[in-house]
Amino acid sequence: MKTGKRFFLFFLLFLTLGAPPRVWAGPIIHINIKTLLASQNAGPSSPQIKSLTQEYRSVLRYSSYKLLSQNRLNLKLNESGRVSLPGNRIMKITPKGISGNRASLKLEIYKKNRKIFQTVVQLRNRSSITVGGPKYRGGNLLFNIFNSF
Amino acid sequence: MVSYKTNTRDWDEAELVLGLKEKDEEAYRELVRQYQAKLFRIAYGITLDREESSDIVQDVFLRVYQNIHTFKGDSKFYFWLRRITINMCLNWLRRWKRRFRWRHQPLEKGEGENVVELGTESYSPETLYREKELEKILQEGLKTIPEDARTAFILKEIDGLSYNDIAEILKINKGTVSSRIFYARQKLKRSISSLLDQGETE
Amino acid sequence: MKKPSRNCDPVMVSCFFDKELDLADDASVDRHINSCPSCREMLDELKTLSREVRTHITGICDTDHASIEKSLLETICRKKTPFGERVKEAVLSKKVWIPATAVASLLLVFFTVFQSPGVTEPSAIIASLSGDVSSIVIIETPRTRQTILWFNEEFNPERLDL
Repeated sequence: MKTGKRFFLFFLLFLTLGAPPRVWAGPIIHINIKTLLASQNAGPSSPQIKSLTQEYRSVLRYSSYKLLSQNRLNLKLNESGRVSLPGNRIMKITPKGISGNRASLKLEIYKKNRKIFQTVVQLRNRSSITVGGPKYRGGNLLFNIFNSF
Repeated sequence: MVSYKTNTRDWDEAELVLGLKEKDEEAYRELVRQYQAKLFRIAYGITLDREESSDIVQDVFLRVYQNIHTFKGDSKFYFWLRRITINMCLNWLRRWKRRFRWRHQPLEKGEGENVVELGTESYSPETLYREKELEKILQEGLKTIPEDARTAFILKEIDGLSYNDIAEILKINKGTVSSRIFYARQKLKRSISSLLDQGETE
Repeated sequence: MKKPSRNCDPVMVSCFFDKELDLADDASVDRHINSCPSCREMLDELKTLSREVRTHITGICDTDHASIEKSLLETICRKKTPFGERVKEAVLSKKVWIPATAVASLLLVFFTVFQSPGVTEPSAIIASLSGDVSSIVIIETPRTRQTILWFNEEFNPERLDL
């Protein structure tokens, strides 16, 4: 029994000290991209985006906001992630750095492989920016990009 | 206790003055209903400060409450109100004469009111922006007019007063009224052209 | 008023626009304007300026009188009640101090336990932007200061770089 206990302790020690050390991979920025369709007279807004809809209603005059898709990316600095968007569009996001409570993100929007828009934004931790609004199916597309780190 | 019953009676001036002298609440409600907008336009045209104009109009009505017994009825009641309003505006201008008090005028009209509305069928963001820019240019242009010229100009444009009436209110002669209004128009025209030119070259 | 000269006189045009000339001068200036393109243009400018100023000021002054009415009547009501009476009423009124205490306690608990700083900065700061777009508008929502970047996707041969 005593031998068994000792062996078990040594085993635990081995696991703790002998296991390969974790490699520090730098900060990971978690990005959530929601694609919304804002339009007039297209029925009720999606309930999942109720708080966003309330914000938009204070400055935009659309009656309906529908969540079309949602994508999540976990990116290291200078690592790019791509998201397909409606209408043959692609959004490429590249975190460029973190300063204080803001992450610097490069956002590029491509349409049919041609870059049509690019911006570098300093996005506050746990907040979002909304980019819009290409015309789409009688309304306009909004891309809400949320980040946390 | 304040009551908010809607008053659908039409008050003529004599009735109103009598009601005000008797401190009748309905009369004071009618006072606000009939004159608030007109007095606000004059106050705003002179001060170009929305909050201050609101305070001034409020003070004018309070002044009415306190001094209605001094109104003898020898001129129209509105003329009396207007004179009080103008005097308060001119006093305000004198107090702030040496201070640059123009706050940044946001592109939107006010908090929660008429904020820039994008992407509607009727308005593209660019059209709305241009309209807001033109309003801003007009506002800036009005600020460039010196106060005495602007006061005469506003009384003419907003209240349609004759040169004689303006002369009497401002205690200047008719010729001075004419030249101040002319000067205000020239100044406004030049400022607007200059601001529009600046906008085009940016 | 000085008599109109044969040459263009902007001051006279201004007075004419304001209908401040006597009959003879008014008729004379009217005749002149009909035959003088530059004075006619001057008059049109005055009409436009006048219209724009009136529209602008009327638009800004489109206020709701209900709040002014309420405020005025409350002030009048206060003026009618003697000061001592008002103080007594305020202090002794259960309707005031019971809810006030309750609200104060709740606020104290709220701000102690759930300290939540207000949003003081915008969600995003735009460091740069460029694109084959014809226009860009940047706005911020009033409550949470969320940044919205709106671009017009129409292809523009002159590339936009900021």
